[in-house]
Amino acid sequence: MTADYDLIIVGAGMVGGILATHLASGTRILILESGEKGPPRAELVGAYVTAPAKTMGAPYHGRDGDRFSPSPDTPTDYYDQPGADKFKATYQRRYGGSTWHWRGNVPRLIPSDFQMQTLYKVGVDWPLTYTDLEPWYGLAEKEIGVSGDHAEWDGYLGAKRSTDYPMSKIWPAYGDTVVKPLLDGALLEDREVRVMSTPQARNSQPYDDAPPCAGNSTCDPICPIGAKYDATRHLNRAAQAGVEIRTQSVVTRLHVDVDGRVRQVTYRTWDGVDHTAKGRVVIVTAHAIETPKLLLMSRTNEIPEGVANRSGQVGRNLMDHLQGQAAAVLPMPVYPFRGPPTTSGIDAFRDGPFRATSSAFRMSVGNDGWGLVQGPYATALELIREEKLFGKALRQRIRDVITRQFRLSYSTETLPHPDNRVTLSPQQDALGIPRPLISFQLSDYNRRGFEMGRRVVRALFERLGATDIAMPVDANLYSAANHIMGTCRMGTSASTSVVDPEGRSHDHPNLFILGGSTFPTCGTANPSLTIVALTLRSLGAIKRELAA
Amino acid sequence: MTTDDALAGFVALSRYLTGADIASDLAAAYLARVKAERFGTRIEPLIALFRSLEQSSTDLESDVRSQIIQSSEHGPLAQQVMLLWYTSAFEDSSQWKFGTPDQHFRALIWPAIGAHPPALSGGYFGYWKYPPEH
Repeated sequence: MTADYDLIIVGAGMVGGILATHLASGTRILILESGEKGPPRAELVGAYVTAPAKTMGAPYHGRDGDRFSPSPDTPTDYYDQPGADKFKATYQRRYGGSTWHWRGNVPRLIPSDFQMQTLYKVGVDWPLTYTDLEPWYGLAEKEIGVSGDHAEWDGYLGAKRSTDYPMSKIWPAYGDTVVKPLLDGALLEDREVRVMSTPQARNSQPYDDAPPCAGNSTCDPICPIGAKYDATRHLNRAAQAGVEIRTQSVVTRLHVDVDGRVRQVTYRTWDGVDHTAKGRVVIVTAHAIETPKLLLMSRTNEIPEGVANRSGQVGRNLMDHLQGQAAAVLPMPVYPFRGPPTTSGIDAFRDGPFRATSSAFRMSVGNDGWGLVQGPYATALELIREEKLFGKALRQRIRDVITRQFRLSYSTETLPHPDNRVTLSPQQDALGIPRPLISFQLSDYNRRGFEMGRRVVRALFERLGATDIAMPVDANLYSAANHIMGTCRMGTSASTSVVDPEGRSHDHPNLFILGGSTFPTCGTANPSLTIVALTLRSLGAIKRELAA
Repeated sequence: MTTDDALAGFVALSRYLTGADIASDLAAAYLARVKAERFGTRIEPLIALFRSLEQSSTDLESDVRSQIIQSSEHGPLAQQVMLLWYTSAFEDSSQWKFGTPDQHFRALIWPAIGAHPPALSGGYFGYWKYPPEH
C-alpha cells in the first residue's frame, strides 16, 4: 500500500505543531484537526468581552464548532458523567487547541514527582527521572518561550537547572510585592513559605516574532496580542514549510494492519462525509480525553479492546489538579486586574513527607481580585443592589473594596486510579461520534490535600490581616485546573502501560501517542512544559521510525 | 417627553447615580438599550422624577435615596442604569447581558479601580508592578 503521507498527526495543538515544525523538512505531513481555524483573534476577543458569562469557552461559543467539534467548552453538556463527583476540566478543539485559553504557567515537575511510589508508596514511578528529562525541559523553555528567574528556581525542591530561561521573568504584580514581604518565611505545615515568580510562557520581551506581554489580563481565555505562547505559532510555521493541515476533520478510526501497524485513518469532515488518509507513521495527540476516545472507537473484532490497549489502560487514570480558591479583603490595596491574572506562586507545598497520605499542592497568588470566587461585576452588583449605594459613595466604595480583593488558590495532585476513566458514551455529537463517558471519584487523598490547603490559606490570610475571608464552603468543593492528564500512561511494561517512555505504543510500532495523556502521575506542575519536553524527547524515536 | 429631553434627562440621571463623568456619546446607545428591555417603559417616569427632584429638592441625595433608590417602583431600574454604566451590562436573575465591545471597554468600573478593561490594557510590559497613577 502506498502511503499518502510519511506522517499523519491527529490534533493541531501544541504537540502537533511542534512536531510538524521540527519534522517538516523532507517529510510529507498531514495534520488532521477536528475544529476550525479562525476567525481572526480580534473577533474572538470581541465575542469574549460581550459574552454573558466570562467562561473559558466564551470567545469560541456560537460557532459551528459547538456542534461539530464539541468539548466541555461548548455551552451544552459534552461529558456524559452520571457519577456524583464530577470531572470539571475543559479543553478547546480548534486550530491551536487549548493553548488558546491556557494561562501559560509553566513550572517544571520536581524530581520527587517522578518517583511517587518509591518515595511515598503511592501512585507509580515514571519510567524516567527528572535528571533524564532536565535537558529537554531547557529546550522546551526555549521552544515555546518561557520567561522566568533562573537563579530563584535553580535547585528549588531539588530541581537543578542546567540552562537559563530564554527571557527574564514576568515582573510581579504590584500586589505580589505587597504580600511577599509579609508571607515569606512563614513556617506552615513544616514548610517554609516563599512567594516566587511563576515561570510563564508569555513574553517579557519580543521573542519568536511575538510581542512582549502588555498586561491585558485575559490570558485565559484569550491573549488579545499573542504575547502568550499558543500553538498557532508553530502551526503557522509548519504550514509555511509545506505541512498540510486539514481542519474541520474529525478522526474517527485508526486502522490496524495484520502486522500491527497503523497505516490508515478515517476522518469525518463537518459535512458528514468520511475520508481516509494513509501514512507510514501516525501520531495521536488530541489531548487526554479525545485521544483515548479515538483509540477506543477504533476497536474491531480483531482488537475488541481498542487500539493500543492490550494493557487495558487506555482511558484509565484520568487526572486533573483539583483546586480550591479562597478570597479575602486585605487591609491595603493590591490593585488587581492589572497585568497577568497571576505572576507569583507559593511552591513550598509541592513536596514533603505528607505526600504519603495527602495531596501536594501548588499555590497561585492571584492578581485577579477574587478570581473564580466572585468577579468584579458581581461585586459592583452587590454594592448597588445590597448596600443600595449610588453616586460618589458608590464609586468610592467600588474602588475601596475591589482594589483590596485578593485570592489564593491551591491546586492539588490527583493520584492515578484505574476507575477514573474515559470510555465511550452511547450519546453522540452532531456528527454521530460518541461523546466521552467519564467516571470520576474524588479521593480521600485529595480531600486531605484540600484540608491542608485550606489551613495554609487561612494562616496566610491571617498573616496579611485579611478580613471577609471566603473559603470553599467544604473540602469537597473543588474546581478544575483544566490540566487533563493520564488515560494513556507511559511505562516500560506492555502489560501495565500504553506507551513506552518515548511515546511509542507498545502494541503498534509506528503509532505514537503524545501529550498529557501519557503522564503516569501528575505532580503539581501545570503540565504543558512537561508535555513539550516529552515531545522534544520523542522526536528522535519518531525520526528513526520515519527513516525506517 | 421629547427625545432630546429624554436623552438629556438620562445623562443627568446617569451622572448623578454613578457619581462619575459619564461619556455623553454613550448615553443615546445606553438609553436605547434600557428602552429595549422589559423594564424600559419605566425609564421616562424615572427621568421625569429625577428632573423634578433636581428642580425642587433641598436635599437631593436624601430625596434620591428615598424616592428612587428605595422605591420599589424606581429602585430596580435605577440599579440597572448604574450597573449598565459600571459594567456595560444588565443583570436579571443572574443572567448578564452585555452590549458592544466598545461599551465593554468603556465600563466605569475599570477607571474606578485604577485598572483597565480586560483585553485592552493600553499599557506596556511591566506596568502592573507599580500602583496605578490614579
